[in-house]
Amino acid sequence: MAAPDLSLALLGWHSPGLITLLLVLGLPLGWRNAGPPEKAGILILGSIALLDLAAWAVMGGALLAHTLIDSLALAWLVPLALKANRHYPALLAAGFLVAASAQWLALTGLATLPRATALIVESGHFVAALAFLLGWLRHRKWPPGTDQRPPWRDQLQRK
Amino acid sequence: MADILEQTALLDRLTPKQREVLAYVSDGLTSKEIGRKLGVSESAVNQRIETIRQRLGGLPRAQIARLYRRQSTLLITIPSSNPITGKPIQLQAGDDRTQPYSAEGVVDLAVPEAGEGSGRLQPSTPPSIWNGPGAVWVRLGAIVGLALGMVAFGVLLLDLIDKLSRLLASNG
Repeated sequence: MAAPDLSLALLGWHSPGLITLLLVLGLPLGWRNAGPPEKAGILILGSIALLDLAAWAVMGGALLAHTLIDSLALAWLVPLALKANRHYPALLAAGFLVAASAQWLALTGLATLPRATALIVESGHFVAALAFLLGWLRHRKWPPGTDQRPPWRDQLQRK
Repeated sequence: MADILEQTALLDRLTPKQREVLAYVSDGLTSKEIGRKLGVSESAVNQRIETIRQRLGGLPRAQIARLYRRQSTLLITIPSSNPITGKPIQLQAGDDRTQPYSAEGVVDLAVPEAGEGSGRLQPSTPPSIWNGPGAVWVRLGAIVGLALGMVAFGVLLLDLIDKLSRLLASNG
């Protein structure tokens, strides 16, 4: 009996199915009731999904394109995690840090196990998507008076 | 001080719906935004705000918002003198000087005034390690720590999958 394929690649960000789902459901549903950091997150993830779709259409699953896109996502998400008065962007950025690092290692030839690399990359993406979804669900609509926190950290320090 | 207490008592007379509108006003939302959140028209919101203003003695919108914020941020009251000994209470040198102390001894977690910064009224919270002066490093550390944790978990998971695959292959 052959060993079963236990790869989690089907959950992958780089599969057009999840990207389409995020684009179709995430943006319209999330925008209206979202706070400013959530809107920033929607913009970043939406842009990344669009870029990913474009990369799929033009270059297929080219590693370099997806590595650059993930690095771009990381470069946008780290400032969001540093500025937003929320906890979940840190997990979101960490997920993309894992994914981008693993892809850079694969690109430079330091990671030699393709399936293991794919698993780590897709797990990072999955954790990031899940973190954003849970964060958005938590912060989308605070009842008035219950959330005493401003959306951005800088406003706390302006005294 | 007496004025603040008087106006705060007036706030308690508002209905829950009026307080809800006032909470949104104090968050800096426009009537249109409040209407969208409550599912009512902009003019209905303006009417409610007008009623609130009348109940609070015709104060302008910005002032009733400030009043509401002040009521929700008046956390600790320190008397200016010890009620038993009558000696004045001195604040210790090590106290957090980021919190302003008013002459009446009221610790008020001050918030940006209307028109400052983004122009929106924002409530304030005491800075924590996550929001304090070194927050950038704390947050960067959290991102890297979480990433390392994920990698460690991934390695363990891969090891488990590898062992499971080998086990199933050898059984087959």
